[in-house]
Amino acid sequence: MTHRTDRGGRLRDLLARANPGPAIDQELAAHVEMRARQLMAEGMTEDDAWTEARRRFGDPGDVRVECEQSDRRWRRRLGRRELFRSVATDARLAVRAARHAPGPTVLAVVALALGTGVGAAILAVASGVLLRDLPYPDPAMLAGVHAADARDRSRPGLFSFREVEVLAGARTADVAGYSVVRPPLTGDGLEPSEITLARITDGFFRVLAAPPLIGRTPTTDETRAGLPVAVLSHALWTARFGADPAVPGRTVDVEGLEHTIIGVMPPRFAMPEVASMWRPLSPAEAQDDDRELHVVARIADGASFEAASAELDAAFAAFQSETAVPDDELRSVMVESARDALVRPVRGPLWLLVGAAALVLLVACVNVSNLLLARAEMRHDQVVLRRALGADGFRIVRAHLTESLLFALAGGALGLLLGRVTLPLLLRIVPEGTPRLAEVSFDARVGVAMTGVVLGTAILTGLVPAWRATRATTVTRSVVGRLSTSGSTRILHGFVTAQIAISTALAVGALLLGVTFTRLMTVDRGFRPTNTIVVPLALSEEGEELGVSAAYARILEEARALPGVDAAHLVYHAPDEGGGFRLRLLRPEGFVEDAVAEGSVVPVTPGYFDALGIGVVDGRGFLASDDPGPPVAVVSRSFARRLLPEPARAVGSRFVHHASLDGGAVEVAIVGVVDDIIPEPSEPPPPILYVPFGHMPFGYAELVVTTTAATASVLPALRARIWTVDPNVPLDAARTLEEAVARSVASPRFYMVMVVGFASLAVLLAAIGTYGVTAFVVAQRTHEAGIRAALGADSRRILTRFLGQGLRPALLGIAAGLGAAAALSRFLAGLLFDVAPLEPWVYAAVAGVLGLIALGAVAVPARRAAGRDPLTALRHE
Amino acid sequence: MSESQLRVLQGTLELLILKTLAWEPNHGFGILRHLETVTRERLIVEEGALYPALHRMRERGWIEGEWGKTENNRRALVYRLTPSGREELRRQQSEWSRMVDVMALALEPASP
Repeated sequence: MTHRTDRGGRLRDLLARANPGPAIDQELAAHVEMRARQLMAEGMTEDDAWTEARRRFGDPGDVRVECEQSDRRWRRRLGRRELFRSVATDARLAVRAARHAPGPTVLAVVALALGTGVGAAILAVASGVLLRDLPYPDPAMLAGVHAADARDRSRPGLFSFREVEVLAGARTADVAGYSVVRPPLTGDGLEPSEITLARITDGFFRVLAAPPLIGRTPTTDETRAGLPVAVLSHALWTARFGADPAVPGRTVDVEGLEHTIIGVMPPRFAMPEVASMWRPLSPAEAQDDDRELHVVARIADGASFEAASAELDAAFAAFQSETAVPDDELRSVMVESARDALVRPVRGPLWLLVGAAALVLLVACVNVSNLLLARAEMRHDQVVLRRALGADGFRIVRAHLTESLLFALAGGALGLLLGRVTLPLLLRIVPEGTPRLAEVSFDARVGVAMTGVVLGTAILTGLVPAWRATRATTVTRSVVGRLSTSGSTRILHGFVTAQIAISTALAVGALLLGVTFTRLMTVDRGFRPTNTIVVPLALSEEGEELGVSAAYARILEEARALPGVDAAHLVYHAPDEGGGFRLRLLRPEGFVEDAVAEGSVVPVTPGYFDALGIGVVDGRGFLASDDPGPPVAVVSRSFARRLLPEPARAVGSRFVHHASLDGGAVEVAIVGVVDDIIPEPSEPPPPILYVPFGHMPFGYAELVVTTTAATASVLPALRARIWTVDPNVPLDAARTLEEAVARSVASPRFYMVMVVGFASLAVLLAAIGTYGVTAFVVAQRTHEAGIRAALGADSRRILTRFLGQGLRPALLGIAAGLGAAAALSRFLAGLLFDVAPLEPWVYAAVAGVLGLIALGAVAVPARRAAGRDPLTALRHE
Repeated sequence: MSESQLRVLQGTLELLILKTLAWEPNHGFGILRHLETVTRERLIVEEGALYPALHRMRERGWIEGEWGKTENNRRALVYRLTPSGREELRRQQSEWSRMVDVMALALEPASP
């Protein structure tokens, strides 16, 4: 018996995969027919034969069902095995191709790894800080509540105690407030230290719904009465009390007042972020109208943020009209998710960094695409052959996607490793004060996101080569080979344009941030930060017993007597803190009737301006004779300009302020004008009225010590000397002005470092990409170059041609990148200082540098190709 | 059914199919005809049972099918043995001969 196989069955097979029923029917029908024919051949009539054949076969229904079930199982198994086998084959081929050209492969994988790695690390930070739920029960219902100027809602503000009480009456939300201060912690044989104390109103712990780790939290009665009962943070408990479980019941002195410890919170409880102790707001603290309370709320069951917002705002508005708040001081209430409120300052910048990392990854992906496309181009004949042999388009696309998936997996795996290694380093340079850094880790969210990124990478890098491959026709390459190559050249050049465009945009951002940072570092702050120690002096009761002035005088003496100390002064506050005695409004009488202006009164000791290098521009500084003398003042330039009727004739004029200890009006004679100090470069210099320190004796001041020796060598001795005067003054907040200045630029430096890193990486990858594409394209044209050379074109003309062709897409990319940067740079505006988002020279510089890099990346392979011997070139194919 | 005719023993249909296909690839009806011929029509194969057996064997990978044409130019699914089917044939054949021996021993009249 012979059987011819039936080629056309392929399609039917494919259809049968979906439904085996028709094929079985056919098979069974064939059986009955053949039996009938056999019977007819044996002499039966046609009718009888068919009847007999059907009788012998029996009921086909059951048979059919059994066969169908079997077939379905078989096809599923076959499909899986076939898929596995062919994917394995694809993978083997891909690995072989990769081993054939290890250099580009390694480069592409490393590029992907770098892209994924930085992406993963940044994403981990963004995820932990911005996305992870707050560590309290039912965190979605926690809200941050702010008061904002009714006309300008951009600056959320705080509440006074009375205002919090108004809000606490709401039904749609449980509301509590807290204010943060940094008092000294003493007693119990502890070295005095400064802690961060949160003074809470009733319901604080109820709103957060967080139980203490040990002990208890204050009761409503205790909180309402403002009793001195304290709850410790886990960190303070561990650091200062050796994690002693018997700590409840012990007492500590806070601001000289004895507090009973009643509980310890768990490690993750961080509201506010930096708090080391919580205690009820005391009745005295509750009485003033200072707006210093942050407000948290838990939205009631069944209520919404909108409902709570409406109710709170209405209650607040009613309170404001009752208390006759003037129109221009009206405020409204904003309710937002507590997490968003917490991370608001870093949200924008962090997403910006995630975006930058994504762009770097995109550039790396394009590099892989380049490589795959070039490789596919060289395999063009093979694909044509496979198609001719019946491989369908799907099969070929899959082969390409398998290859890119391998790249993505290798790059992704390496990248995740890299990310894990980078994350701790990254966390080290994240500016301190970034909220929720403790929550950052490589968690499941990052894992899922990065898996998505890897798969996305595979599709992104494999798609274009795969699409190209499906268009490979069965016509062999020798006929239309050139045609197809020029098509892929266009795509490759498109890739170059894209890469260069992205890198250009990133480079513009990097340069803008770099300029910002340099300007911040070199900006004249109006004072000399070098070799200067600032020691906050919060005198304890013991110190105050000496008499504030006497204690300060002795501390100054002790400090001045130390070897290595140049000068010692008292000031409130030191210039890095804004120089602000931001207590009271100044009322410049005789200037504009009833005008109220914000300004600061800063008491300083004589000689302070000289010691800190603050220039006296008119009149004089303070003299020792001013301390006991009549009220005099020295003003800053901004003060004179903004608050005096005749800025040019400040010296000799008089000014009335209300910043005295008893709140009464004080008239001062202005004896000098000094340069502005700039604590925060992005803000205008504060108007300052300096007064002699002796005129405002106060329980708190900062000791400013300038040294001739290194500050680090002086500080320990300085501490010891101060403790001989007041043993209970906490000195752990001592700082150098240089540190403080560095800290003030920590955020800009972080963003600059990150974006410069991203941009450099992107530019490097784009340069590699451009080099690779040019090398491939000129290699494809070696033949053409050979012909041209043989026809007499000199190598210079060939080189120019290659250069022109290679540079065009790069220049296009630079132009596109500059355009994109110009459009996007306004998102950076908030991070910039003293440089406009559209600063022309920045764009010009980036264009120039990128142009040179592109020229290099194009020229090297182009020269090599143009310089080849025409005969060798012609033999190339 | 005449006295001389036998039904296929439970579990032996697969062996018969494997043996038939070891001879040459064939479609279902061909296999049936072959069995009828070589046993001189003394073996009765239930035609309905043949196809589920074939499909089950294909599912197990012992045989594979391909559409072809009979001598009468009729489209039919032609089965052939796979290497694993050949292996299975050897196994079942040896099992069968051991079974025959054991049955013979068991049914032999007790020796005096």
